[in-house]
Amino acid sequence: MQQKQLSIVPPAARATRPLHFPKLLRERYNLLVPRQEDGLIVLAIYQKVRSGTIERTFPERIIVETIKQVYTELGMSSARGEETQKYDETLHRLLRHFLDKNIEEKTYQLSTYAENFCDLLEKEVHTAINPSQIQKTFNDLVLLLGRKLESIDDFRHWYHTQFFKNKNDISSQLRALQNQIEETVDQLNDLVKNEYDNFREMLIGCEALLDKIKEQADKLSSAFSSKDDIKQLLDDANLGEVYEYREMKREVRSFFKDIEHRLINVSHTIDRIKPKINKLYNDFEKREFDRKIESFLLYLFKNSSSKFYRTKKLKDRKVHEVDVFLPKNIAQKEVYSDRSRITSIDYLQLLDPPPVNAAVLDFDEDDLALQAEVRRQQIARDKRIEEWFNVICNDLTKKKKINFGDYYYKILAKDNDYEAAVKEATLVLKEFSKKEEFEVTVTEEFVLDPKQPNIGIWKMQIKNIAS
Amino acid sequence: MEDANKKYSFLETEEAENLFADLDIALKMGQHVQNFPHQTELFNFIEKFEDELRAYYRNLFKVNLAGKGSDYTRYFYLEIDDESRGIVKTRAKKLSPEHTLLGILLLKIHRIDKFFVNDIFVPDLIQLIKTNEEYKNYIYNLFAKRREKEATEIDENTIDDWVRNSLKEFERLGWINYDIRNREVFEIMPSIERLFTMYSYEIHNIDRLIDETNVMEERTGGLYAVEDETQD
Repeated sequence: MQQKQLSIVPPAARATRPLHFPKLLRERYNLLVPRQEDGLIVLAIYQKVRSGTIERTFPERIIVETIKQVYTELGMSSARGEETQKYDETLHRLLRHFLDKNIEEKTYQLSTYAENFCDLLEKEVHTAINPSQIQKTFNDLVLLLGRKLESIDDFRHWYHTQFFKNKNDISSQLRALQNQIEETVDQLNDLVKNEYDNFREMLIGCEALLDKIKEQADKLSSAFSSKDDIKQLLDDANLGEVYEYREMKREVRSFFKDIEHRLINVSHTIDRIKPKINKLYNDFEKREFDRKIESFLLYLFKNSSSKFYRTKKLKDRKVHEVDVFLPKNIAQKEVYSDRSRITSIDYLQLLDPPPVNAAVLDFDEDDLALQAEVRRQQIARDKRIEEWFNVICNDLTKKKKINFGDYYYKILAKDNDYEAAVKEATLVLKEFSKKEEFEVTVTEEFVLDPKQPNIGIWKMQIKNIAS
Repeated sequence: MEDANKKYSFLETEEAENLFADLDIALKMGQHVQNFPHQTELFNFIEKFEDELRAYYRNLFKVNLAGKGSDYTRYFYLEIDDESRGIVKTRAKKLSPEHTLLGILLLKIHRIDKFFVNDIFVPDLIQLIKTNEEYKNYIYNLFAKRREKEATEIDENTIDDWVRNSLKEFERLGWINYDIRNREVFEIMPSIERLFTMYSYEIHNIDRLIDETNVMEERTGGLYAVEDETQD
């Protein structure tokens, strides 16, 4: 009665009003909303009745038994002597709203309020997802709405009866889907944390569950497709002038928007979980043994070494001639091969080679010493030439330009070796002409040195053009 | 004499006249024989006379005719076992490091990746090897002494040759089989598992091997295993 009174006011308008609870509700709140143990006792009796374990009407003994069961379950056992009193108190509390007593027959049964209460609890926790039911609900909503848009009274009636009544069913379907996902995710987390023997089976179970949830979400999405019809009907109605209508319409639209959003969310969540499941599969497949083969392979590649020889020319390409060595602690393995016996023959000496005549050679000791000396001088000269060349190279890195003539006469002055100076000139000309960063110019102009009156050399300049 | 005839009576059969020479050569060359179309006749022949054949090779050649795997994965091969070791040492051939490396890689593909369910296209395999983030750098280092990005044509050719030459060797051993219509396509045979049995100790103890190597590297600063500088 009170609920009806409250809900006549549109939600937006309602929010601005001060809170006002009826006195009776306030007083009885603790009896209407049971404490945990009372709620569970009622729920246990409700389940027993539904499953046929007990009759719809039952003796007091059943209630006491259930109270005991629930107290034990919750770890609330009382001290001896206090039990009976506690059971009595509980029974009396429950009799206010949850149990009806038949005084004549001395039996009890659950009140309608208790049944509704239990039904609500179960619906909240375990709603069976039923897309076809939702489809029908929607069809009815649309059908009725089409006839209830002539006047604000008709629409108000639709809003408070049809829409409000079904809105909870629709929401609970969504909540049920979300709960299922949460449960599956919990199971998956549990799987990852604990090493179960039947890991693979459990993983398959979780995956199947997610597939099912996704399928249901898809079905619900298509069941909800008539929400667009509702939106359309609301937009087309001629009640837009009425403030109350606009408020209610806004409420209806935001509800459907929310539902749509939550459905998309369900799909997204599943899409995000799926790759993780695949990874779990892979991890499982590769576990231990396979992992070891992979590690072994990587170990071999990482720790093997190689030695390179010359480049080998094959028919149409060149390759490195390379020998690979396995890590020291990994032995090469043998395979049976008797091919050697089939194909190769030991070396046969068919003919004796002709005798080798050793030639008798006489040496002139003095000439040998002279030859050695000449060779030593040659080596010394080559070394000096090399040194001078290095000096010139060094100078050229420091200076932009040098005149070779200066070095030529320095060589003559220092080494007194005409041949060395000429060879140096040849070497310098040859080497620097090849290098792109240097420019060699020779002009037919004598460079002379008064200390060497009989010698002249063309002017040769080397420029460093690298920078 | 009569006993001896009974022992190897398979030699008197018509099948032996047609098949035994081929089988004998194949086995002695180190080939593994399995129940695949190209070897079905040889495989059936071994299965039919398995015990007699085993005695024949044991008594006359001092080697073991081994049979591994079951059903679809069963395969036969000759091996030098503890009884024959020493007597027939010259009839063993070491699998080269190059072949071993590619063999273990194929074993991994066969057992774990299953990227290629049946047929493997050689260029695909080469591509896979050259692009695998986990080991491509090691491969380029081994066969080219360079990183992949700096590889020259000669480096690439060397890796290609490593793969192709190893595959040729594996074909000889019966570990793979080329498609007769297309030599660029092959299939991994169940007998590639032989490599696993060869290295089963090392594979099972790989974690310990890695630990030992790491400890050794810490002690020596990683200088102990530089093969190419110490060997000629």
